[in-house]
Formats: sequence, C-alpha cells, structure tokens
Amino acid sequence: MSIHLDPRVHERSGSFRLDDLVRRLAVTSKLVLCVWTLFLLLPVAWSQSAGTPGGSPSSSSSPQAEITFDGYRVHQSVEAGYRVSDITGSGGMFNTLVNEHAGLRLFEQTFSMRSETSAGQPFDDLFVNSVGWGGDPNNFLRMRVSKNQWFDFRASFRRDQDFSDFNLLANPLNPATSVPTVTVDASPHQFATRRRMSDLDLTLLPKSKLSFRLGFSHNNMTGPSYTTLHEGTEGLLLQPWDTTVNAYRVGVDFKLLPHTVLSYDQFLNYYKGDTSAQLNSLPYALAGGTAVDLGLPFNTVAGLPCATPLLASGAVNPTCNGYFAYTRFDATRNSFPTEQLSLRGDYFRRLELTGSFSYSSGDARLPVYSEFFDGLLSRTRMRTSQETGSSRANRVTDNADAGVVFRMTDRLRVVDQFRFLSFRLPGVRDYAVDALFGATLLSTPNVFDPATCPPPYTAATCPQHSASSGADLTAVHDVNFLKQDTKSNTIELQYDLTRKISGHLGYRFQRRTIFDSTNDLQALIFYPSLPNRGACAGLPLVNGVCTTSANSSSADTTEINAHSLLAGFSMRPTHELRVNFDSEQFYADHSYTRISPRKESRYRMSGNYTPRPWAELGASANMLSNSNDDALVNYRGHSRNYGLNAVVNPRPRFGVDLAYNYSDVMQDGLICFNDVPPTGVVLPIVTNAKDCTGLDSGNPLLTDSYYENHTHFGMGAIMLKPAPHVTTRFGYSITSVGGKIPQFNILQPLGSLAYNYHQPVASLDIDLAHNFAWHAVWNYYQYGEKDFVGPTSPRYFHADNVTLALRYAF
Amino acid sequence: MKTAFWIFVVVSLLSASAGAANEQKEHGNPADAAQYAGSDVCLTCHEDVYRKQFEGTPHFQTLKKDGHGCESCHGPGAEHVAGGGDKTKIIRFANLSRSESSRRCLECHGQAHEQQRFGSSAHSGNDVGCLDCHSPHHAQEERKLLVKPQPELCYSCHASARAEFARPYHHRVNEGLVTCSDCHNVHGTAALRQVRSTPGGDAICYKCHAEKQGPFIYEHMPVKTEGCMSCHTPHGSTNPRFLRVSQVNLLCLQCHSAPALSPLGPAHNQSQKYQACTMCHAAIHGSNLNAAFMK
Repeated sequence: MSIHLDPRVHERSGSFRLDDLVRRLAVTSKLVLCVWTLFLLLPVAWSQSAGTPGGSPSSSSSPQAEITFDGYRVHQSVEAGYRVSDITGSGGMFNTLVNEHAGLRLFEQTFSMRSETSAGQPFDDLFVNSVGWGGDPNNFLRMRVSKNQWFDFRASFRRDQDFSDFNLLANPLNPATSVPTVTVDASPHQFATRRRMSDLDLTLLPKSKLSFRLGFSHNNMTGPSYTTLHEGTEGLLLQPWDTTVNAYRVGVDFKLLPHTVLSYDQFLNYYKGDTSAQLNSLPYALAGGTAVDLGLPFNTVAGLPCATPLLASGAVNPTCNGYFAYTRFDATRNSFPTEQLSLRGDYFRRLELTGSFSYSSGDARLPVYSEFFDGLLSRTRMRTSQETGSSRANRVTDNADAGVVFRMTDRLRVVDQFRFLSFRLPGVRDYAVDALFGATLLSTPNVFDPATCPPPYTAATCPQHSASSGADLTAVHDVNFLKQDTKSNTIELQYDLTRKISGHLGYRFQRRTIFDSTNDLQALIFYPSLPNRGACAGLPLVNGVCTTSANSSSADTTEINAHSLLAGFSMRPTHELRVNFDSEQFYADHSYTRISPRKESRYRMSGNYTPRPWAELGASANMLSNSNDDALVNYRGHSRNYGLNAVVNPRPRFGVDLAYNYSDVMQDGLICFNDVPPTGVVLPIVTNAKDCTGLDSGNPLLTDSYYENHTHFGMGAIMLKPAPHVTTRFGYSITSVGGKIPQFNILQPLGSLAYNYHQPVASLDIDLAHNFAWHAVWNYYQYGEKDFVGPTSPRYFHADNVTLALRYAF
Repeated sequence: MKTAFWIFVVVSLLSASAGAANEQKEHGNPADAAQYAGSDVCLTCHEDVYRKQFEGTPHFQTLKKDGHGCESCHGPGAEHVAGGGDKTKIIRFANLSRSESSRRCLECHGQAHEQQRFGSSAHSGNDVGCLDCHSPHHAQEERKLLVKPQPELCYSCHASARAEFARPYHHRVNEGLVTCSDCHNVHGTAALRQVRSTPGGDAICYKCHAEKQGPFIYEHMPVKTEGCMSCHTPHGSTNPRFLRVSQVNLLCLQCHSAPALSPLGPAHNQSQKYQACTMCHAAIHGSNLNAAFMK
C-alpha cells in the first residue's frame, strides 16, 4: 500500500552511466528525427551578410532590425516555438528541479523605442522585455519608459510556479516491518504554488530641485500545498495557499543645497493571509463504513498509529488514533506603515554624509480563529475539540544609520558607518478550547449534563475521561514579547598606496540586546468523570466539577558584544590583472543560539586576468570558519569555496567557457540525542541514557554531530560557427555532492547529501533570411542519488527537453 | 529610538549648517563657459565614439539644457583642443584611480537613492568603482550601461555565486526571474554584504516571502534575531528548501540540545519514529496558534 499525493510519471530506479546517456540519445531518436526533418524542410536560404539589414549579430546570432517611426528608432523581436519533453523517473523531482514541460511557448519578446530628438515627444525611451509565456514555470515582463527630466517609470511583472516534492522532506519513513506497510511516496509538505509579483515605480521630475516618487507592489501567492498536524497521529492536511501583499510608496526628494538631498518616504504595506487547512482524505473505514484517516506514520512496531491499526476484517481498529474531520480557518490581516527620513550631502569636497531614520508600527490581527477536530487522540481519549479565539500582535521598529566618508587626503579616507536597529514584537492571544472525550472512535463523545451524568458520575452518558485526559473547557490568555536592539559601528581607513594598489583596515563593534518574555494564563474546568485529574489533582470539587487556573511565565535577557577586525587590499599591477583580498576576524562574548559563532574568521580572495581582450581568467577562494567554545556546545564549522573560470573567444567563430567550483562545508557540535534504536539495529550516534537535562560537561548524553558536504561543480561550453550564419553550442555541467551526517534513523538515506546532477546541452542557431533566425536546443537533465532510496519511491529521474523556436526581429 | 533620532538630527544639522555657512561650492568652482569646447567640437575628432557609443546612450541627455555633453564627464576641453588633442589637458578615466573616477560619476548620480551610500560601500572599500561594472561607451547592456548584463557581470568577480546559483535548489537568477540587484544594492547599503532591507528594516527576503514575516504571537525567535541565514543559504543549496544541512532533524538538534535557551532536546524517539521534526512542528517560521509551532 502506498500514498500518492501527486501521481504522475511511472517510477523506475536507475543510476547514471555513460552508456546510459548514449542509450538515452538513441531512445530519443524520434525527437532527433523531428529536429532534423524540420531543419531540412526549412528554407535554409540566407542573404549575404553585407545585404542583411540592421547591423551586427547579437549574442544569439540573430539579425537586428530597426525601423524609424515618428522620430523614434524602433526595434522589436519575438521568439516563439514549441518544447517537447520526455521524462523518465520521478516526476515529482523533475517538477521540483526543472518543471519545464511540453507545449507552445512565447519564449521572448522585446520592444524598444528610442527618440532621436526628444523634442515634443511623450517619452525618450521605451523598453519592454518579456520571457517565458505559455506555461514555463518562470515568466516575467519588464518595462521602462522615461523622458529626461520629466519622468522615469519602471514596471515589472513576475510569475513563478514553484513546485516542491522532495519526498524525504517531512516523510515518516514507514518501515517494511509495519503491518500494514504503507509507503508515503511524496513529501507530506509538498506544494505547487504560483507567485505573481508586480512592481511599479514612477519618478517625477528626477533632475529637479523637488522630485517625487510613487510606487506600488503587489504580491499574490496561491496554490495547493500540504501540511501535517499532530493529534495523536500526524494527519495530512490540504492547505490551499492564499496570501496577498499590497505595498504603496510615496517619496519626496528635496535638493535643498547643491549635492545635498533630503528625502521623505511613506510606505504602506498590507498583508492578507487567507490560507486555510482541512483534512486531505479519509482512506480507511471503521466497521460499519465510517471513513477515517489513520494519519501518515505507519510503524506498528513502534506503536504508530497504534500497535494494530487494522483488524483482521480490514476495518480500522477503533482504539487507534485517527481523524474523522479537521478544519482550520485563521485569516490574518497585517498592516505596516513606515515613515523614513534620509539625507545625503557631499557639499564639501572632502566630506560625504549620509543618514536615515525610519519608524514602523505594524499591526497583525487575527480577529476570528476557529479550528475543529473530530477523531481520537488515544493517549488522552480526546474525541473532539473546538478551538476559537483571536490574536493581535504588533511590530514596532525604529532604525537609523549615519555614515561619514572623510577624504583626509587624495589617498586617505576615513569611513564610518553607524547603524541602529530596534524591533519590538508584543503579541496577545485569547482562545478557548472545548473538548469532548470518548474511549474509542466508535464512542459517542458525551457532553457533561448533571441530568444525564449524576453522581457517582459512572453512567455511560458521562464524559468518558481517562486519568490522562485534559481539561474539558480551557480559556487561555497568552502574552508574549520579543525585543532586540542592535547598535553597530564600523570605522575603516582606506588608503590608495598608488592608483593601482589600495588597502583598508577597520574595526566594527556591535552590541545586541535581546529580551523575550512569555506569560500564559489558563482557566481550566474539569468535568466528571475523574474530575481530579491533571492540574486539578487533589483540588476540591463543586457539584462534581473542578475549576482551577494555571499560570506560567518566563523572561530572559541576552546581551552580546561583538568585535570585528577588518583588513584587505586590492591590486591592479597591470591593466590586465586584478587581485582582491578581504578578511574579517570576529569575536563575541555570548551567542543567542548554540550554533551562532563566538569566533569567526572570514577570508575572500579573487583574481581576474585578461591577457587578451578575448580571454578572461578568474579564480576565487572564500573561506569561513566559526566556532562556539562553550563546553556543552563545542561547535566548529567551516565553509570553504574555491573556484576557477575561463572565458576564451579567440575568434568570432569559436569560444570556450569553463568553470569549476569546489565547496566544502563542515559542522560539528555536541547535540543531545538519546533515543533507542529498533531491536537489532546499532546506530553509532545513539546512547541509552534517559534524559538530556544535565548541565555537566561530562554528560554522557551529549554526542557529537559531525556533518560534512563536499560539492563539485563543473561546467564547460563550446561555441562554434561553422558557417557565417550558423552557430552551434555544446555544453555540459555537473553538480556532484557527497558527505557525511549522523544517522538518527536506520531508514534515513543520505538523500540530498549524495547525488549527481548532470545537465548536458546542445544548441543550433541559424540566421535565415529577412530577419528570421531558427533556434533549436536540446537539454538533458539527470538526477541520481548515490545512496539507498529509503522507504519511499526513488527520486531518480532523467529527461530530454527539445526546444524549437523561430525568432523574428523587425 | 530617541538615541537614533538625535543622531540623525545631529548629522542633518551638521550637513545643513556646513552648507549654509559656506556658500562657496567646494567641489570646484564651475568652469567658465570659455573653458568648454562644446560637444560638436569633440565630434570632429571622436566621431566614431560619438556616433556609435554616445549618441544612442542615456548620457546623450547631457547635451540638453545646461549640460556639457562629453565635457560633463571628461571636463572642460578647450585646452585639450587648443593643445591639438593634448591628452594631459582632458580627463581620461583610464588614468584615474577607481576612487577618483567614481567621484566624477557621483557628481551627477550621487543623489539618487540607489547610489547614495556608494562612498561607504563594500565595493568602494575594495576598490571596485563605477567603471568596473558600467561603461558609458562600451556597454553591452544598454539601459544601465553595464559592461555585461546581470548576472554574468556579478559572476565575473563573485565566481562562487555562479556555482551557488547552479545548484539544484536555487533562486531563479540564471532564469532571469530574480536579479542580483533585487536582493543586493550593489552601490551599498547600511547593512552587511550590501543586502537590502524592507522599509521597516526587516530582511529583504520578506518582500517575496511575505507569509514568513509575521509578526507572530509565538515567534521562532532566531528567525527574527539571527535572520533567515541561520537555517537557509539564500543563493542556492544542494539541499531542498535551501537548508544548510541535508536533514532537518540535525538542523533542529544543533540548537535544541542542552544547554539550549528553551526548549531542551526532544523527548521523542527519533531512531524509530519522529525522524522529521517538521512533521509535527510544521509552522517553524512562527505561529499565531501554537507555542510549539505545531500549527
């Protein structure tokens, strides 16, 4: 038995071999035949280059064309075509990493109008570019219209189809030893959402003493997603995503003095969250036919959802954790008005000043919240619960920064940057829970009524509590607060030794003060039966009912002082060679989380060498190491990245682009992991102690968690122009990942810590007559892991995508 | 807040009073009109550059109104012309340091919001000037006069970023949906790594990922105090959801182990079940409904 959330392509395991690649090329011969047929049938007749109107070849080797219209030079181009797609293996992984399917496409469109004179014309420059229409996961449109000294308008629209189904994520990894065996083939947290973002910005009178800025942004994300909820067992919930942000901006720039600008900006952000949740499906049934969901985890050896979820008859065991129904509505409305004042002045030749101050008082409201659960939480015998309430939170921030650049001499500069950030997040929530109890899924959850539940409260019509049952009625008032103030100042000396060599030396101090507090006040009512349970143990009863309250609070303050030493240099010994080096040494007296560093060293080096105008060579090294020496943490980590790249185009008809990058990530620290593996399984990480609350550095419960990730990235591409109007490109890239991680669960594969991702590509461009260009691309994708699959469907896939397009420039 | 406000006031007064006290522009007195040759004179010798690499560019607007065209950037050219094209009598950007050449650009472009903090930026501090990314006469990207379009331009120095965006899980920079300048202001910000922020000072991540911003009743506090990068690598990752490590449980245990701030390590047996923390703690970025982020 298995659970499919997004059944698409049949699934097959496999591993990458070179002959496999060759076989794939042969299997897709029908695609290749299609390509060549089109190639032969197309009228491959091109004019001599001298006769081609419009000028020099573009980077895509297609001709440019231009027309003149009403005083404007107009360029347009459009590229449309069709993509063929053949996928084998995990459709979920293909959609997660590539998500480009077959169909007609408008690949790209450009439109440009540039004024020749500007006089008497509504605009000087108009440019529109859009990409990816027709079904591709990413498409965008960008537009810019401007008229010098009058206005500048920019707009963009972006649409992103984001699909995620890495099936190991949030997967219960149900073992084959479970009875029944239920495989969860897709990620319980997969999603297929669409985000649409628009940004409009208008600047009026940009060169004037007083200029104005207006802007609007819209961000809407919708689409299905899944999540899980723990109520005895983890039920799968369908979560239709629906969030919207509308942001408005108004600003004024006042050039009050030469080279001095004072600006005021008002921002208004409105957020609407209408995402809801409901039980996804009811795949099982009780005797009698009532549908029920037993949740995702099926590990009967470990008692999930219970020891015997299904009876011999195939019906659900009514004593098992399960769901009949679940719904949740929590519509949120947030507003964030922000005011900002900023100043920049470099009236003096040697002094440059910048500063800004902003204040924001955001408000987040959840006026009506409701949640309903119907099922069985066997540990407490809860059969139904209804939760209602409201909440309100605020986000108050004030930020300021001030910067000074003082040019002491033509070679020596002092740069100082001060920054102050403060946020305060108070929140209040009031809610009530009404719970009913029963022994099994078949039990009727009884409401307490003295008439039907008289003393001694043992009647079958009484609520059927157990000693572990929670309160019948709960009213909660939560007040939480989080605050952080950050002050930092960076001062740096920058010196130009010569026009080709410069260096900088600096110091940064940062102080963070974090304060958080919680206060939880509960009023609890316990009905019979067993009213003296839980928080009511030993308390007096009134008419068989116990009422009590509970209060808990906490508060904590952390102050962190951090110091950084900054140093670096840059050299341009020749016009062709450039070298940069930058470093930072960081020390903090405390940390807020266990893996926040108390010490950190950062080094960055990069070099570029351009021995010829057609050759560019580059190298880079980024090294970061950090640590937290607390005896109960003993954290060490590093991230080292080294790269080489070369772009060589010695002739217009030949070019090579090569790149290699190696990344080495390591994290190692003491963690608390004291679980008991299944019988017969030995896991090196596991100890057998009972709790992790000891604060003794010799605590045997703490164990080492060593994680490392080695990633190799290689890319090569060759461009050849065998004929003046023909361009071919061949390329290949690979991302190869390997590493180590503690194994907490014997069924957990390495997954994304051990795989190869191959992406060869080939393309053919032919410039045809009359500003037409024909374009064909073959993309191949192959994802294959180097470890066992685990109790899920394999994540391997390979895919051939062939794209045929015609481009017309006019 | 008071401290911050008064700092801002002091900076403003300092700047304004200094300007008011000294009316004389210290950037250099405006040159006499006689020192300018006129762009039509430049055209006579530099026709190729003028026609092909100036006329069609946005800088052509400098010819309008009181502008000086070529001489807006290269300085007054009368002496250069009188000297028969004496190269020492005209500003040649190849002979300037990056700092010097950038100051010339900022004479006009320095007041725009995007460029206001260039002088104190990481790029400027590392001797990366305007002409490393922009080319008024040889731009491949016409609108912003970039030497190369994004992201190739950025990759030419930040080679590691190319590899990061090539990883399977990546922000769609190579696809054109997101640009480097969406998240970074390459001309400098008050924040580290030249990262932008929302108007209220929050991480720029929330411009797109607005549902994670909150505020929430129950905050997952490091999300707000340490930032998104405590768990995610924003450029690209070999792990799904851009996580720093390949397994969620390790990420959680690195913090939620004694002596954690709160809560302490899990009481669940991850060796046999509960191997995915976020199966139960699903609302991990913050919740309005449950203090343990269960919903």
